[in-house]
Amino acid sequence: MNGVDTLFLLVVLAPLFVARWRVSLLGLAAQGVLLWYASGGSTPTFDDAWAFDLVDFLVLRAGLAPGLLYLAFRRPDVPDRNDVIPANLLAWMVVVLLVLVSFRFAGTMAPAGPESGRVAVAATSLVLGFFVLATQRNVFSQIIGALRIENAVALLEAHGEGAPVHPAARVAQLVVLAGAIGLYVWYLEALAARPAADHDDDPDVAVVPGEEAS
Amino acid sequence: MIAWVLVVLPLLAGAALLPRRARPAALTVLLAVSGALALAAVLVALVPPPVVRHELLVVDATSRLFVAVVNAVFFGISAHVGNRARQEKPFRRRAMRFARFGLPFIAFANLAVLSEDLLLGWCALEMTTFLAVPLVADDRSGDKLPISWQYFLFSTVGLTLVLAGFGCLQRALGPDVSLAYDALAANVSALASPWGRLGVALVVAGYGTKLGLFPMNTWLPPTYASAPAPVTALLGAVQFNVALVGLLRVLAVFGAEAPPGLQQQLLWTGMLSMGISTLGIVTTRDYVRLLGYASINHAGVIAVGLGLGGPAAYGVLLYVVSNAFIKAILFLTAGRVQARFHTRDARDVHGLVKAMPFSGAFLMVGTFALLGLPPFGSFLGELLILSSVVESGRLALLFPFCALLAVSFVATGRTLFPMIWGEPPVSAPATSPGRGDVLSEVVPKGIFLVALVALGIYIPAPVNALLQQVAASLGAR
Repeated sequence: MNGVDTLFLLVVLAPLFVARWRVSLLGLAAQGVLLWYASGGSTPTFDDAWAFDLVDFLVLRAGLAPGLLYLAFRRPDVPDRNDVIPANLLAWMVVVLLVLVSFRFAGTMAPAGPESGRVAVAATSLVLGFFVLATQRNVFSQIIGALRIENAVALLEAHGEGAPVHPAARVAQLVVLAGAIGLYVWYLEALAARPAADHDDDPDVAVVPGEEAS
Repeated sequence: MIAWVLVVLPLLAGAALLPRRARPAALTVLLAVSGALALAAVLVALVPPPVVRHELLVVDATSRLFVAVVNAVFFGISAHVGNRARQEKPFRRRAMRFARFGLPFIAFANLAVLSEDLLLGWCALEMTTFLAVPLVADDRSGDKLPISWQYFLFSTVGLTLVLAGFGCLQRALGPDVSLAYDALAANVSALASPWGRLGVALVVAGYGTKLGLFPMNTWLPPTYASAPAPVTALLGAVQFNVALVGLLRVLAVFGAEAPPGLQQQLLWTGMLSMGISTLGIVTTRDYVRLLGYASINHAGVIAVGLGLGGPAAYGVLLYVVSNAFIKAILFLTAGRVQARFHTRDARDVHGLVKAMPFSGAFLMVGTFALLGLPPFGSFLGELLILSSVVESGRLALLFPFCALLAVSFVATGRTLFPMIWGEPPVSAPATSPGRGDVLSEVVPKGIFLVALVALGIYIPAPVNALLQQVAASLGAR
């Protein structure tokens, strides 16, 4: 496992245990920067692929997404603490188990070489993203979970071998990512602005209802 | 050329409606453009060119069939929207919103169906989700906003799974092969690798989310129940088929030689979806939500049919096309009923045939088709799938498949049929529909009904040829 992958694993794991919403956003920004580095962005070629990666990883994932979410979530009534996974021993054990299973999975899929580490970290990030989504009902944490999953998929694809992607498809992908970020921010604001009676017991976020809610 | 028109025309029309001063013309533009699209799409479907590949688009049997279906349904929905906006003043604002977002929605739906590139098709499908969000959230009243969030979150995460699947497929194919359908088909042996198998499994699971397949199907019933009726029809009859095309494209790569793991995945998710939805159909008394569960049930039947492979392909396609029309008829009719009776509780709705003769008739006939009774195409499709279950020798599948169909059949009839008969309540007295109703409301649904019967009794030769070509691409002999 190389340095970038190790750092990525750290920024994936740390915000789970440091239950602060600003740390979660910082983690997302760091993931964006590391994705850019992992895709070879630090050695500029100034071609289309390099420009697309710059916009995708640095502008959208490292800058726009955490920045806009920060602006949307920064309110006086929002407490600093925000658990993205339940703060208990069982949840921490599950995280450790998921990391172990992901590394085992990577050993099967890419038995040797540097790819094994990349796959292990991407798989870890993916399953932990799903774990966040599965355990959280507040919108902010669900957005964090969804963005973690998107970054994990990007890491899986960032293996630097330059698969042939049509420029139109790459542009469309950037538009989709920007659109998703825009909608995340819109929901964060719109759901928080709902009347207090419509909220769950969690004060700072709206709650997605279950089957009963129609 | 005409393929690009199907994408560019509604996109331009949608853009033209963005300025506030253009909004009074929204409904006229919606009707004109959707009519032109339906006509163009049917022409594309019935005038068979050789397979045409542009740089990004492909006009083959699959895209021709589904472009015709989704644009015909979109035209029917647009006519319904226009008619209701004329009759119900409060609906007018909603109708204009539908025009603003619905036109770009159908543009991206067409792009997703026609796209040659897996990634571009994925992006277009994701764009339809983004454009559906404001339509599902509607006026943000009640629980609409959190339910639309649930829809958006599940859709996005499901489609991210598809993207993860593409990443795995790319690893299986190597760096020199693009993610285009013909490139995948030419390198099908590479997909037998662990990365290839994982990629296909993730793609199936991801598109399954959009179809409402188990396990990521909890978003569907509340979304369908909460969204305005035309939007529900748009999701159930248009977006459903667009997502299905993505799945069919990947399955077509394997033809008749689908790997056993893929077959098992489709059969299991199909059966579990049928089981979960049957439970929902039995327990709910909300007729719109029931139609949502029925949609999951249909997705389950389709998944089982696809899991059976080539022999069931023709039946699956008949079932899919029939269901697009059935869902359009039933969701639009349910919206009418809800607007009149102000309730979604089936126990509070009686005497539809007297109170709303056309809606009552469409609900009755639509329910017959939904239940898979003859002479509708859904009956023939279901029969062909069932016979494929027997022919494949999967007799262990036969009993639960038939039992789930039978239970959902009885439970659906028990909830929906009492709405049709009896005396209407005083709050919803009987009315005689005007001539405008007949033209703009009844004609599109009537055409869907004729198509449904035709699919069950006599399929015109060009349509049959098209269905056979798509079935052949899925491995049917």
